Amino acid sequence: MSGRWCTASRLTTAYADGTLDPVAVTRASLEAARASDASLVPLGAFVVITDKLASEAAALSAARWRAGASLGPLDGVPVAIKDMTDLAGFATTDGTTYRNSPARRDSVVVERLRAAGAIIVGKTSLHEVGLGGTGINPGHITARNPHDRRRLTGGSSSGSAAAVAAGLVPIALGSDAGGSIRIPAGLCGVTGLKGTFGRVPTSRSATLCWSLDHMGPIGASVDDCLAFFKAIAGPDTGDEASLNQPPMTSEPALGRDGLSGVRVAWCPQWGDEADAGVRQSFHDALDALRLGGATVEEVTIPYLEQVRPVGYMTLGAEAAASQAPYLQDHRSDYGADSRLLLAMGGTVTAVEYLHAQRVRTLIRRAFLQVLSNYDVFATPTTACVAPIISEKSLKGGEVDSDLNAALARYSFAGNLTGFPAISIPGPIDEGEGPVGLQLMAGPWQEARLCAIARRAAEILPEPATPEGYVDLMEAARAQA
Amino acid sequence: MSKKNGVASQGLLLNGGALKAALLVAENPLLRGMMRARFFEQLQIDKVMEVEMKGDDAGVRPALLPWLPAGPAQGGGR
Repeated sequence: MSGRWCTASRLTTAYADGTLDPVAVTRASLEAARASDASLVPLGAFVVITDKLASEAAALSAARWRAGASLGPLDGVPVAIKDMTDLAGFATTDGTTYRNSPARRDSVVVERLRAAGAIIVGKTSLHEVGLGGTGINPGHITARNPHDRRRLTGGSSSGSAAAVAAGLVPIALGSDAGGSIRIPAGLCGVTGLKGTFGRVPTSRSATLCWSLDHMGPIGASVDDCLAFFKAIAGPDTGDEASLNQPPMTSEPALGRDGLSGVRVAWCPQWGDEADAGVRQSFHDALDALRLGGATVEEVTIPYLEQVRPVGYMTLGAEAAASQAPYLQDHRSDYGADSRLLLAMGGTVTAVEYLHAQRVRTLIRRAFLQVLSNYDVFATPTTACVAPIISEKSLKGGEVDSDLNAALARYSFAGNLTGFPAISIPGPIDEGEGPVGLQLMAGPWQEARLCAIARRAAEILPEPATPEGYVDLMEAARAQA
Repeated sequence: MSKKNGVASQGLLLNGGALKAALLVAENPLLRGMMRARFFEQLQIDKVMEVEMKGDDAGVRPALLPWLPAGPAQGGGR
């Protein structure tokens, strides 16, 4: 039987009423992070655990709470960050074995998290340079799915999703060039939010694809993800794509309860191209949204067939270009799977890339048309549940085109359009593991998207915590 | 054509020795084209290249990043 999720909002409520303090919770988080790798099959969520940094920050946060001067909804909350963004004094490995020089200063998102009082307890594992949706990283660390350690977490933000699903932290930073926040969130039964392209600056973070990269949270609830997202969003001069964004809107008023008045679109030609269990979960979710008062209607969208190939042409070409300087000196340090994908990405010609970007414009227009008539567009997050990891792939990596297509089938459109999308836990596929429900909204509509996702999450069955889940509140109280 | 993970499978599963062999081909400039053909077929890149940009779509621009900052609000027309 599952327990209750330990969210950031529950933690800060306890800090405010004085029943818990950030020092005890941070200590519990650090201990849980260490313990997660001590078993026969290590969870593999963390690349490094930042004990000293976290303990010092927790002491300061505790003093603020005692003085009634908290910095807000993240103050004293243990968080983890994907090891593709700079944390001063620690290497940003980006999932490689060779990037080992410590960063001189924090990335912008890390600066913002620390300014909001978040306690960084460690950096999380990822698919090598973020180039893959499985999380399998034989040369570095492969995170395991907390619901079943034989299975993949999905990637590339594999460690972040594993850390949240296991209860080691309530929220973690992820990044997403083709679904890398939403895919592992979906497969690990937690929530993942990718905002509008440019909303969160990527300054001083590792680049995979200039026109596809997003950063955002994976968390135990929609509220936690939104609080984290608000803390890291906003313009920064180091990232031109972030400069022209409108301010975050305040949350729109929905009806008093349920999803009354909310218009949801879905596309049978797409939503039904998934494994039977995922399809069932998706249709159960649509039924629940209908019962909750939403208007759920079928739509057709042109150019859906092109989403996957345009996505891979864009990702392949941009990844080959972004990794080219590293490949010169470190080709043999990359895994065979990454090298193969980068070699193939490098064969996309300029004419092909530009044609793909023109088709991308048509895709963007098609989604904008749908989202001018509907509040959200719903799909499953992935077309499959988390597969079992094969030993051969774990040792030497893999390129599995069918699996990659199934994992990124529904997420790539969010990167190609740049529109915000969130994955929330959908009805469970019995015996198979978590399934995500993805909702996409129009550009800059993150607040409305989250308001709808929160209501949807209230309507859908509460996701189960995995066996061995650590409730940080209980763990902290047990220490006292 | 089989069906796996909800996707029409055209089969490209490379791990172990097969992955190493594929890498040797992909990183050899003389052989790379063979691997590209296999990859592009599997990714159905032809579906992208077949989209014709004619008529109303002749002026469709590539979805590239904005290269200029937004200008200040201006009054009046041209």
